Amino acid sequence: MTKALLRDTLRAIRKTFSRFISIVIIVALGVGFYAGLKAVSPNMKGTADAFYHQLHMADIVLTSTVGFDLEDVRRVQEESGVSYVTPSRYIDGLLYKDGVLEQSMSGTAYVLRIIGYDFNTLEGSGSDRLNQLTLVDGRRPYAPNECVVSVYESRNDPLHYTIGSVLTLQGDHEDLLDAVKFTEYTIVGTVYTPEFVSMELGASQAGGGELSGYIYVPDDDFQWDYYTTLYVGVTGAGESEAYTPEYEAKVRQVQERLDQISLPIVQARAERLRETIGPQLEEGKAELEVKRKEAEEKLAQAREDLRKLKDGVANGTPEYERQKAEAEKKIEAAKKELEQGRIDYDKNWKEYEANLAKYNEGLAEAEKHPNAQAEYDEAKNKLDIAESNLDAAKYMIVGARSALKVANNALTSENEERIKNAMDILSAYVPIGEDHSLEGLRAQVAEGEAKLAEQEAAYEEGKKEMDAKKAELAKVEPLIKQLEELGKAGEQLQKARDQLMAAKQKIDNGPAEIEAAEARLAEELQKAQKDMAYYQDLASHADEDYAKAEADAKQQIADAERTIRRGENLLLSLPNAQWLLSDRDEFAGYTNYGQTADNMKSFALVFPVLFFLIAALVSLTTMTRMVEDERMQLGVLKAAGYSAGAIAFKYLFYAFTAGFLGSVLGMALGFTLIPIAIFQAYSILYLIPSMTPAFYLGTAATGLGAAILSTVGAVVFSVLRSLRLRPAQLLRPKAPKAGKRVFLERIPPLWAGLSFSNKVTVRNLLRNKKRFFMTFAGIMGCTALLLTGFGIGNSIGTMLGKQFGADSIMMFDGQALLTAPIQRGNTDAMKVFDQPGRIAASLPVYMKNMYAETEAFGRQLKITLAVPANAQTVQDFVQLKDPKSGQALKFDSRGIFIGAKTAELMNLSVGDEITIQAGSVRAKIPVAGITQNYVYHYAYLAPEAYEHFFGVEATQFNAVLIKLTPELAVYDGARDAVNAAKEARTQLSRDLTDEAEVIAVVYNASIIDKVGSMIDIMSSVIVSVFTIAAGALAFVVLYNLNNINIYERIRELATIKVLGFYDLEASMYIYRENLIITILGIVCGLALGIPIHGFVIRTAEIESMMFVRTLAPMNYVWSALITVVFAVGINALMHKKIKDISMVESLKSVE
Amino acid sequence: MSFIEFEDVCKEYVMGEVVIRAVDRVDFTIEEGEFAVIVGSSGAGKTTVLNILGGMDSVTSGAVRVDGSEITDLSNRKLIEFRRNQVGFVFQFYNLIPNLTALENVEIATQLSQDPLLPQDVLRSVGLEDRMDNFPAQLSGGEQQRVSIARALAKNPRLLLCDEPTGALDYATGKQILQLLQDACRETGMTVIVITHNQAIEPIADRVIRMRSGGVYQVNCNPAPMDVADIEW
Repeated sequence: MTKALLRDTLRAIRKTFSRFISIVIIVALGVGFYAGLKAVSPNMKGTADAFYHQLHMADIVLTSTVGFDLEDVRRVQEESGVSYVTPSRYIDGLLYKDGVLEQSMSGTAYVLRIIGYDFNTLEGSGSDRLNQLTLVDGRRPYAPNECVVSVYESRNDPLHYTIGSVLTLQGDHEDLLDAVKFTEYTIVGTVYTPEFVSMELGASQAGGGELSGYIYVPDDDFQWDYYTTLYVGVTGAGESEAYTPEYEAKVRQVQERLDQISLPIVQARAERLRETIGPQLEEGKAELEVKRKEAEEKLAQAREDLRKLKDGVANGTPEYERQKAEAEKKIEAAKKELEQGRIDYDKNWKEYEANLAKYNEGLAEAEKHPNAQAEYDEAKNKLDIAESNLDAAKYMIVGARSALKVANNALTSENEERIKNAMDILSAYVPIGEDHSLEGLRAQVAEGEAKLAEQEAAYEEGKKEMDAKKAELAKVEPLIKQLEELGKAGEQLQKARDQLMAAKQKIDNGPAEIEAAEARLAEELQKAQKDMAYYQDLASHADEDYAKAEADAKQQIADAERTIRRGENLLLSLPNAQWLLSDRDEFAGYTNYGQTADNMKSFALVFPVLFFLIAALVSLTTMTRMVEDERMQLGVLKAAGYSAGAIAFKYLFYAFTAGFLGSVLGMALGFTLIPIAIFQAYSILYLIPSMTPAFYLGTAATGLGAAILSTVGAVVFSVLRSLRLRPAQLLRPKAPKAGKRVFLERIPPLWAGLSFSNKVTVRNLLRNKKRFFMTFAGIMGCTALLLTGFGIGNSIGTMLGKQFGADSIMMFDGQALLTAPIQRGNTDAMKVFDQPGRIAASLPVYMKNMYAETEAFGRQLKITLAVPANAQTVQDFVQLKDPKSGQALKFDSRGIFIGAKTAELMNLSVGDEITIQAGSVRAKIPVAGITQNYVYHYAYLAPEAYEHFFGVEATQFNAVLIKLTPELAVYDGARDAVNAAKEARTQLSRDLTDEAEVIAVVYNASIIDKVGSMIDIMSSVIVSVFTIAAGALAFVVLYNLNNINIYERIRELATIKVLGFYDLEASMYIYRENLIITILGIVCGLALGIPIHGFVIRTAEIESMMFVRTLAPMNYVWSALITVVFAVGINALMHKKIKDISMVESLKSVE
Repeated sequence: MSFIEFEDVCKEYVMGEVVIRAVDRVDFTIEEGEFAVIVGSSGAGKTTVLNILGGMDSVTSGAVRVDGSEITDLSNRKLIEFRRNQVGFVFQFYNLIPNLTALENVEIATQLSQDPLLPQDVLRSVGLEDRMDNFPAQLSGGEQQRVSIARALAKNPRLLLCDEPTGALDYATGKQILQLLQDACRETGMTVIVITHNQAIEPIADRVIRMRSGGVYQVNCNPAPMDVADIEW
């Protein structure tokens, strides 16, 4: 190796960089896909195992029909092989928001699980607790009404699960507060949990039968004195990686031991329970009675209220009509009154006017005697004075006369005293002189008498005079009186006028007032109508409200009754109390995750073979081309005395560098991108925090070895052939490949039938057979890969539908697990399943997991043995069909019927013997039939056969297969109908489990849900991996080969362009060949894909499943179509290359 | 107006920083039906002229007209149509498609043309009636060039461009080929332009265009061209 040669090699790489790169890329693809897919499974499992280990995931999960108390925990802890026991408890409630029931993704009731957790044992606290939580965000709960949720939930459903939000729960037909202290929990943090590894959270006995979410609350929040679950750790299990057979063997051993010791422990627990439950039940019943009475009273009151309201509404309308009529009458009267008033007014007005005229007349008359009144007044005044004077005089006269009389009498009596008095009286009328002698006095009296007479005369005179004047005055009086009357009339007129004016005012205002009144009425009527409508509405809803109240009350009572019935049933079931033991399968997603990882591993097998083959072919073409291009140089070097090895070194080095670089690139990308991409795709489904890519030395070595072998091998092949030639031969240009007749030309009718361009195409195709074959192989590989990918999608995607469902193998809808087994022949016990309208048919069955083995098989296979009560009707529930012909098998007691996959694994055929181990009993049974089966290993025995082979007296059926009525068996179609059916199924399951006879009901639909989404994602991951691989393959191969093809034929292409080919015609000159190769490649690829698919499916299958091994017609269509798309895409790229060829190339001399 | 007119045509190639003027202000005309020879030593620019005339290369400046239409202005598509319908091309190294028989090599051209001649007739006329079904590798150089000429003639073009048609042939064969070309010109009235460095050919041409260093330095019209049989080199 000289420096010059090395430099030459590097220069060669630079010069033929695109060729070099295409080898690097094809190798990178092969190694990348191989390494990546190979790494997926260990990487996924390793990542999961680290996660499980970190959080102390339990190895065994115990549940019990009667719960666990601390005594149970102690007993289990004492068992050998048990490293640690952690009790746990949960209750399922329904999630509410603003008083409305929340819906799950599928539209059913949102079931939220409340799980108790001691937050002093978080991951990192140093606790040995199993299934620890890791706090990710926020903080741990301190208050009892705080909770944490999983990171997964908060990421996917922030609407419900954001730190700080509050979750409100209600029990589903039970009071949550009987179990926990709160129904509202504030989210304070997010955690990772090992208990839920997947999106599918499993089944629940509440709501629509599926769990939608879960929260962890402080364990003190539970009021129960028992636990629902015991988590058990197995000593030493942590040293083996999860999912490995070693791990599973360790766990199975302890699990079996626990199963064996379970009976006395669970019976002791049952006894303790009986002592506490009995009194509680009595108390509950009394309480229920009180509640029932209270509810009755409340309802009666409500009924009374309802009646009143209805009466009111019924009377409302007539009352309204009456009041309306009355008001209208009033308005009518007012109108009439107004009319009358107007008439009266007119009349009165006329009268008034007449009076006014008269008055005016009188007034005119009066004005003729303007002073009459004054004169009359003066005269009258004078007369009055005169009269009063006369009266005074008359009075004086009478007084004086009487005084005189008295004086005379006194004088006669000569009584001094009397005289003196009399004189005093008299002195008031007549002056008495100083002469108080009798005589004197007599005289004086006499004189007084005289004077008096005088005065009397004067008086008479005055009186006469005054009478005359009076007569005079009386003459004037009528006039005066007239005047007075006139004055009065004037006043009256004024008053009348005022009255008229007022009346007029009233009349004028009348219409407006009436209008206002009418408006008021209308308003009031409207209001009344509104009120009436309101009350009618109220009344119409009242029935509903009442019905709801009644239903609520009934519900409450029913709930209470249910609680009591449960208690009673629990009491009844105590003698049959039992544990259910399971392994990590109990943690939603654990098993599926492992199977997913296993599946991915198998696909790594297809790629390397195909890709390395293609890599070898690509290297071969490229290197051959290079050697031929440098033929002359080869000759020169050889002539100069370089050894064959030294010359070949250049090409070997070239190929090795390409292969090595490709491998390194492929591994760098494959070990990281592919596992992470696939893990990412599955992270929708699984809650494993994150994946760290890992380097797997074995895989890397294999990949690198295969890559170097295929590239360097190709060089050795092509270089050695040239180096065998002598230098002189090498120095002469290689004779151009002569045109040749192709075999088709020997069939003249066929050849003649081809158009000219087709003839050219055919001949060109066959001219370079190597290239033809390689392009063909590329296309074929692409199509085969695609078909394999789509086929795998089909195989695993349709498997479930063929196993479960209407026209499948397992046609029943679900199964009920019984508390106490039903003995064969006991028909009474089946009464519970007599549910017309819900259960269409039921079949008791004994079902148990057992282990099957044969001598040749060398190990045990877990199977599920089913012994149906009735060998005749079993075909209505489970179709036992021949896997090939699809014909129904005759199910009888000759022997055991096993699944096709079981038979295949254990290499059994009809008539062979199989040993079944159930606990300590072993039975050797001949195989009577092999049935079609896809999921798990089901084996069937007729009851007589079971009894015979296992030495049992009468089969004890522990489960009942259920076929639902069509209303409940709605699984797809309108969402509402599906959800209604789902809820009805949950209701049925609830009703059945409330009975003492049934522990649980499992529906096949929930199995489909559980596995379905995993399968969907798996199919799409596989289809994408295969599509990308196929696309990459098609691209590298076609691009590279087309490039070489064009390069070699550049002169030819330039010539036809000179001849006048349009751009497209020039491209078609090449494309026509590609088209034919593509079609041939697709056809052969489809044919090749079938066995590849079969092979991959068989290797990809996990032990417990048999994939559908056929392809769907659409798989072919898509594979072909996508290949065409790839081919067209690459040819479109090539078009530009052809277009850019310069015609001047045609003039260059031949080298 | 002449059938072919070159008017002040320049063609420059840029090679890195160097500008090479391959054709420098070339002016000439050729009449329809003429047998024209463009003569020059290698590097004189004659191939470039041919390329431009055949629509295979563009000009830097100037105009080229063929039958009145300016081909320097044509779109790529029109240029292809021009080549397809009006131009036949004979290459120095024949450029036969190795994978096609002689007949098929002719057919590949005739299927493009609007008014082609019958391939068998054309091959017969070039004296290859017995070799029609042979592949190029089975033919001698002269025979291959005759197939090449047949391919060009069969399109029934108005213009036949020949790039050193005798360059790779021996004397006798070369003469036969020239005879063929001259006959084609005489018999069909097709305009034939032959590019050569061989001045001995000049006497048989109607018009001789002499080139040197990218320019035309002499154009001679030959009123009485000689027969091919009478020249020697």
